[in-house]
Amino acid sequence: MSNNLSFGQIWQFCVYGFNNGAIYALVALGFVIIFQVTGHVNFAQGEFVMLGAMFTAWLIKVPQWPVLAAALAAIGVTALVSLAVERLCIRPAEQRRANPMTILVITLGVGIALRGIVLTLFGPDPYAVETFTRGKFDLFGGIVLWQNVWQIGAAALVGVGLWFFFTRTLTGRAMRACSINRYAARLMGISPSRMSMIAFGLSAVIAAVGGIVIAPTTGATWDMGTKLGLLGFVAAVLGGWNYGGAIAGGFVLGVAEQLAIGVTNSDWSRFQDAFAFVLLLLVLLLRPQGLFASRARSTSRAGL
Amino acid sequence: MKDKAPTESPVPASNEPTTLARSSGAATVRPASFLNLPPAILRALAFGLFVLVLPFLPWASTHRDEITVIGFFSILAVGLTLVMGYAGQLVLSQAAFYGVGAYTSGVLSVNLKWPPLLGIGVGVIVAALLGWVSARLLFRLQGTSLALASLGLGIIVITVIGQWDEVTRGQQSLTGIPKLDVLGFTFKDDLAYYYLVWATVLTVMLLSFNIINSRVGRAFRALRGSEVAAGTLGINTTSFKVQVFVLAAAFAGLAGGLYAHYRSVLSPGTFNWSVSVEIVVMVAIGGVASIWGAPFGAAAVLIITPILRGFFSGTSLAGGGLENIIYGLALVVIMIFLPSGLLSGTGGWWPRLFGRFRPSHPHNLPPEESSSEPVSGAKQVG
Repeated sequence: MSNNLSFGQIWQFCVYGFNNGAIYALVALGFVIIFQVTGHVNFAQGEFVMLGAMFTAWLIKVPQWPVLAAALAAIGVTALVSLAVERLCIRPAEQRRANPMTILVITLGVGIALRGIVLTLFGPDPYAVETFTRGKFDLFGGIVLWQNVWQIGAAALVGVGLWFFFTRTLTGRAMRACSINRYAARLMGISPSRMSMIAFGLSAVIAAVGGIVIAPTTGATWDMGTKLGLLGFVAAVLGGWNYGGAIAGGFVLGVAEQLAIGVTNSDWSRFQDAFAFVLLLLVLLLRPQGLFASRARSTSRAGL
Repeated sequence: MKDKAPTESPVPASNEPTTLARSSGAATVRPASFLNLPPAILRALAFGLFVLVLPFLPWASTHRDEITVIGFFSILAVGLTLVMGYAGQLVLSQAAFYGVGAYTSGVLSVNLKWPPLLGIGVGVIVAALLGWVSARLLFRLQGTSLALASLGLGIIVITVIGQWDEVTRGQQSLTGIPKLDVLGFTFKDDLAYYYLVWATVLTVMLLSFNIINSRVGRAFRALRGSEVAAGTLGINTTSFKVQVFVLAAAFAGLAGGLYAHYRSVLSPGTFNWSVSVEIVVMVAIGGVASIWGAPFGAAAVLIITPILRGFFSGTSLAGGGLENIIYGLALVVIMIFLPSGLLSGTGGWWPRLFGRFRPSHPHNLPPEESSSEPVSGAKQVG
């Protein structure tokens, strides 16, 4: 252990952590929305991030579209793919009264197929994406890239947008009603199947946004989705499967991961890929209801 | 390849029927099958004989290595069948336990010069212990989250194996693992290993059948039907799930130990999480609740994949995209339309063709997947 870290270094690691945390938060939000409304865990969530990143990168590089147009098109395509998945894969299984494991295997299959399709279409090489805004600035002694502001800003914007959607709009409130009690929601004239489609569309849009803002930092590859999906899942577990918790869980995970890499020497930091999952197992052991929820609330799927 | 099995069956039955037929007795009221043998025993005999002669059949005699590998994956798939089909849990850490078994045995015999048999035994115990610890943790997660968490567990294991250079040699591969020897007999050639591995497959399958047909097995099936209902009947659901998970981990550890001494070389990529997914595909093809389906699914995946890869070589599909697309679509289509697998189901081609070999015991049938009740969430107002 190298325990002579200065405060400045720790702060710098926190800045890196916030960066990654923003992406984890976005992925976690996608998981939570689908879980809240439909009760399913969508294994393909990480692949939606990958779709967003890959389509943006490809549209910028090959047909030379401007960034904004490419990003919007990528979000649209990802949302369409997600809606198609809900219609063609999830709905028929639900109609056959598939058990949760069956639906999970289906989403796993969707994720693998999406990876295969993207690999076939765009090839195995990573696509580089130019940063949206160049340059960096100094924040309390830590260096922040402007690109990082995009990432954190996207997470913040999505968070605020979702808060508005779920508390101030009829559709959003109907979705929350579905997550509290599907049956009662139906009696109130809410269609859970339509809410389920909206949930899939919305979570794909959020995932695609995450993919677009992370593409300039990490590049876009066909296999980037699985790891991001898993880390987003860990963030959702940390946050106790609710919307606020997912955002907080994402940032906690990002910072914890970077600090763990920062404070350990190379004997330990070579295992960095496993850190997030060790954290996951620790949380499952010590606080299975999530870091922030009280035990009573963990039984409800009400969300906010 | 497995569909040849029934054609071989008359041979063992006519050769050695007397003792078994006498033991089952003239007074048996079971529906008559071939020479009054219970169908389950007939099937096991047929499969055993098929395994015995397979390495000398035309195609198989030049592909013994592939068939041995199918055997390793059959053991893994039988374990996962128990977890998925009978405990109703999707688990994606099977390749990790496979790796733990392989590396434990490999490291012990290379670094500490332990005899291979002891190494395999310790590997099984370590895999089972890891399975027990992780099951206690993972089953705190409700339902479906468990799968993702088990995938995380798989990533922890593969990271440790890949990075812990001083013990596992990491990415450089662990080499020089001795061949297995038991009481002075060394398993040197392909054929000896072929028989060893497939004997293990048969043992593991028989063990699984025994478990399924026991009191514990009934509890498993109740668990799969409805966990809540099983709980109200006094079944300790978590304890049963943990037991079956540990058993699957032990099977995987055993397969890993055998694999280590078969290949003599271990590299981390063999136990990557995508291998766990492949095992899920095998189990899905064979039917999630069908022990017989496990070797069938393993054979189907491992035989079809290289053929398809050769067929599409030179196109952009050859870069691994094809397997992913096919595995993925196969999972989706099978789980939607044939959740109990390609071999089973009342309308399937297998029972119709080989009806005589259908299990006569209702408990050999795969559990009911769904009821015909109308869907609650399908058509809505609104």
